[in-house]
Amino acid sequence: MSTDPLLEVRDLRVGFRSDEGLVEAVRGVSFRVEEREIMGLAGESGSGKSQTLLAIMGLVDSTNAEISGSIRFRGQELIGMGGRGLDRIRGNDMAMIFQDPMTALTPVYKIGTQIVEQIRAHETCSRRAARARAVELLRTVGIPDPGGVAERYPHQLSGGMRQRAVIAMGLSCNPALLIADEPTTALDVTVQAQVLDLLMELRDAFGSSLILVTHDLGVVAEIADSVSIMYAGRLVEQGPKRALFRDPQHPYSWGLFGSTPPFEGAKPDRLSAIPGAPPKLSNLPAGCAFRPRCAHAFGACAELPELSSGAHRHACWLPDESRARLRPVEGSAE
Amino acid sequence: MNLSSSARTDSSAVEPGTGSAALVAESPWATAWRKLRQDRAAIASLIVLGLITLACLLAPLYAQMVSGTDPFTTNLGGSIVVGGESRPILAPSTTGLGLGTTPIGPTGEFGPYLLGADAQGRDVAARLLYGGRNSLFIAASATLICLVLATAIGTVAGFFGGMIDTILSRILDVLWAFPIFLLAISLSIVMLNQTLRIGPVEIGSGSLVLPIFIIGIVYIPYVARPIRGQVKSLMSAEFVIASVGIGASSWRILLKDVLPNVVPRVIVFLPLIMALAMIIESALSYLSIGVQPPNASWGTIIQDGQSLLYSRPLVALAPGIAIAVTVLTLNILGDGVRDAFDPKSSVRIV
Amino acid sequence: MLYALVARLGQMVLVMFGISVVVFLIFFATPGADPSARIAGRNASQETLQQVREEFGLNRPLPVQYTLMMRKLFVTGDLTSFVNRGQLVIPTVLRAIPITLSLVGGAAVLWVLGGLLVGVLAGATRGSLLDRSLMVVSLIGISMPVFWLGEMANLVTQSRLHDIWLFSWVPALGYVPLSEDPWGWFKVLVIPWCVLATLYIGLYGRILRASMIETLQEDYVRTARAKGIGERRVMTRHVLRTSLVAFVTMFGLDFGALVGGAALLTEVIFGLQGVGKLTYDAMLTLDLPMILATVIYASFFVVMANFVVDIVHMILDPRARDVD
Repeated sequence: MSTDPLLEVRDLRVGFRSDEGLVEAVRGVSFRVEEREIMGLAGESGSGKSQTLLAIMGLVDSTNAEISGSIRFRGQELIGMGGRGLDRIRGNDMAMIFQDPMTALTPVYKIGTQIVEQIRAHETCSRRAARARAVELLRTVGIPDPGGVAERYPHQLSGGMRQRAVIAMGLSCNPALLIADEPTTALDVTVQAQVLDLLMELRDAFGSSLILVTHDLGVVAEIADSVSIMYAGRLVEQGPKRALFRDPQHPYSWGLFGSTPPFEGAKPDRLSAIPGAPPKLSNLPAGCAFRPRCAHAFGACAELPELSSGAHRHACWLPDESRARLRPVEGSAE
Repeated sequence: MNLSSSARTDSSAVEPGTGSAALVAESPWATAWRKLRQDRAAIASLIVLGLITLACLLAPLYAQMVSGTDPFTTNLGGSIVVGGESRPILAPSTTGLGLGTTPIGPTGEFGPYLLGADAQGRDVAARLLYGGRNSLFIAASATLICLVLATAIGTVAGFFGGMIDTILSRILDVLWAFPIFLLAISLSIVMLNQTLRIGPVEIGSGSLVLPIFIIGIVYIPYVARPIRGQVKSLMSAEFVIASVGIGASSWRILLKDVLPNVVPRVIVFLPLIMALAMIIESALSYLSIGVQPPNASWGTIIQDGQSLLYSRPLVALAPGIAIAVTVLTLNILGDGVRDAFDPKSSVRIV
Repeated sequence: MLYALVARLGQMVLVMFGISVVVFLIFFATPGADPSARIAGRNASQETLQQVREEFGLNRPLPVQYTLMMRKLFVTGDLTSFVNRGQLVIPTVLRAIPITLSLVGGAAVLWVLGGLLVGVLAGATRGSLLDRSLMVVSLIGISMPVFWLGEMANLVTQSRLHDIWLFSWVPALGYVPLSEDPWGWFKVLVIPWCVLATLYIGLYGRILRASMIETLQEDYVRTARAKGIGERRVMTRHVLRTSLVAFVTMFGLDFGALVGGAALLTEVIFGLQGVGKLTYDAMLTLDLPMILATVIYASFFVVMANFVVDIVHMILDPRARDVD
């Protein structure tokens, strides 16, 4: 049994050349995903989480992009790998599900046809066998009348069904790693729950790992094994879900948790919001990016903090004793 | 309230400790103008267009001072001095069958007959400038008529919907079913053969009003349909429904919610329709059913040059180049305007 | 989908009716001169005028006139030209159709291939030197009046450079039927094909490029790439395939319009007796019956083309099939 993680990202940087210079959306992100692990990657819009995913899949779509660092999948370095090599892995060992099911499928082909296309691109398989497999996959994701749906066009399905079809397509070649970029954001709450259940079942059934990107901590709480929180292109906290939720370490995490109402206990009079707004990536302050909005900033914060070591890591200069003291108590408003 | 406003964040990032980053809201107009100013090709085209217009406006000046001859009277007998030598304007032909006369070719000197003479002994360069006035004037006026009427029709159809919309759409469909060209030709033939009397106004067949009117009408469906489509989708947009909900009057909704969003698209159409109008006018004039003598336009001059095509090609070549350059600048400008004002539009080019 | 088709068919009939009414009104009801003079042509005698009045029922109300005219045109088919005495209008138009078809068909092949090439190359290499050069060339192609370009082509091939090997084979202006002499037919049409195609290659290249650029931004292209099916398949089966819808529908409309007579300028310049030239000649001589026939023919053709294009659109884009 190899001890190599399934996916290892080290110091990933994704920048875009623009009139304002090089704008870095991802500024040195590192993490590992093991087999069968579900990792939640949380952060607000603009934190760089989507770009991280796109970089892993080699889908950063711009001639002005500059990507550096290391992305190792099963020991193989993905950065710098040409299109051909990536195409062998994409859709096959590593698959991605995008946010908006309404626009994710090509409108002129039937659902079945699009799934078959992916299967036959990676495996030698007769058209009939591929089609049967497609129907089976649609059944697995909980689509009623999978045979009928396979013959339909994307515009004829509802959002929830489309997303399931997209998930089915992603799983068609049994990928070891499934990457989902806010897969439930565009769906209503009831469908959200169903899709999340589905993703968890699939991990059990297929044995695939999952990186789930979301801005919704509730989703993370629901299904993740480990959690990484991103802010302004960097990881600010990372660790096993229980530990992180029970004992958040970074002021930004405090802000995030403080701004969601608790399920149990007294409801606060007001939800606290993190003051200020996310910074513009082209003009970041030196040092810790969260500093302008942090109530506990002090001198050391002028320097960029690195992630600490251990299972539950954070990137903050606050000494640990102060940290425990400063952390807001659950349920009280700031 | 506008659908398409953009906000530019102030580059002086986050103010430490407290408030939000200062957002400098830029109105869509300002954004568009800024983008247009930065588009060098568009600016260059605008300049060239301006120069051409200027040159044409100065036609009388040219005729008087440089050309010295009246570009509208025939000049069969005269002669001029070229390079010290006196040469007749219409000389007996030496090429082809040796019959008839060949007008003088381009003199190469900045003076009379710079580009030579046409079959009637008239100064081509001077006629080119006079013709340009008419061509540009007709194209611009036709464009104006077309845009005003099309916007009105499209907006009314989209705004009121129902029966009004159905009737107007059917009319537009029928109008649009005519190949533009044939519609223009039919109208031209019919109207050019007699004097139109509308009330106290008499429009002679030599008037420029007819080509303007015909070209303007013919392109109305082309503009009206997209406008109607846009107004229809605007009517079901949330901010309009909100206006209706708070009891705003129809006029107010029209003026404050609908029209400001329609105007950018109309602006995008302006250079494009003008380019189309120029080409159609030149074609109609070439076929002798556009601008009528004694007026000239670039199209009529090409027709003048047809009999001289093999002996004095410049007579037909020059106006064509003038048209091509003008239309080219209009197209480039049109692209620039579209990119600046309405980048998502799928307005067809020509 | 069947319902949509039938609805379109009905609409088409309605539009054709509308067109015939409009044409009729333009030529019979415009205030001004006596319609009989217009139909009889210039310098017609009193008897002819009287005869015309009888035949076309010009003393009777407009709807009757309209019916009579339609009958002459479609049912009895005996509409004759009063300028070229006794020349039956309909057969003349029918004879001209193959010529126009030859011209437009050949040009269409050129412009589709050319447009595809330009559009795909420019769209796929957006921002590159190739893209920019292609776009400049396309713009120039669109900006030249087609009749002027034709004249210039003639100037070069018939006169100025006629003696060099490149153009010495260009025959005199005129048409040679395919059945008579295929090689001659080809030689006569090559230059007109190129001239007519120039405008449209520029136009369609730009349209396809814009379409492709727009499609390349779509989410489903990103999904297709994520499937690992290879860039070439992504480009052809996903990007091009969806971009083509606009291209094809517009092609149908332009082709229809050209066959209907919109190619008249090209026909005139190159001496091809197609439908367009027929219209032009009729127009110069004010041969009203001929004008009526050609204009109605042209409009009907355009409406037909519209209809076919709608069907093709429904085939190519499944989303269009379920529209009410």
